[in-house]
Amino acid sequence: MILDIGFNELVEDVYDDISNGEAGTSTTLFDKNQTGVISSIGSTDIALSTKVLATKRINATYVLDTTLANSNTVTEYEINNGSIAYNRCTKAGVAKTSNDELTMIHTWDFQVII
Amino acid sequence: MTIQQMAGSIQDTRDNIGSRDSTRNPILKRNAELIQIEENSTVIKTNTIGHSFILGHPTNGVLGTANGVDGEQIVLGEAGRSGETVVRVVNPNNTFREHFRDDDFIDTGNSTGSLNTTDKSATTTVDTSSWGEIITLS
Repeated sequence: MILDIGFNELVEDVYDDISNGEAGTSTTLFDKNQTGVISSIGSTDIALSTKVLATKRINATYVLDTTLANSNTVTEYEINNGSIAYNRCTKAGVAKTSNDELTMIHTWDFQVII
Repeated sequence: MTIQQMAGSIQDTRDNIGSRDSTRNPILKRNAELIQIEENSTVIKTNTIGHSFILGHPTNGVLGTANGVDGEQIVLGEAGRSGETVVRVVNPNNTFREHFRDDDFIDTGNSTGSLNTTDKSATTTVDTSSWGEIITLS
């Protein structure tokens, strides 16, 4: 049986590993075989603003400040460990300008099903 | 093979089979465990800088004479910002699942039922209700 402490260690390993987010402009629908954002916006592969480890839950916040991704319509983003992307999220575009910040909050839940 | 030989063969088979086998194959209990990672809805917010001072910003980086992007006098700190506004809620694979682990998507203004994020349950009785809020916005 998978022990609670082993399971928690696994979640913590993921929490420790994720470090960055990255944004892009591709409108291609997500697919599990993809490797991350498809049309990356330069300089947006930056450290997560915050990440929080709760019981069986990881919460990651990625912020594009007023200096990043300006004049782009942001349609996709990922969370990665500096090289490997864990996910890719696509959405209807948000026009990014130097007059605003864009915050993306992502949550993962973990559980053992017996 | 003659009939006599066949009868002998059958007898040999019976002798070899012997009495009914009393052994039991052990049935091992196997826990089919599955570790699941569930991606929840992603929330995307914007926060307009308004008239807060932003170092290096062409408009909001100039103190004294210039106004911020909202037309008001620039102030130092976070004070002049618009505040975060939810502009997108993205549900993985267009599916929203409410597990009651949090109250992020509960419409507290209209819900009269009770929500327990510890037990992960929502309780509604007669004349009470629980409502989801902005579970999709794209």
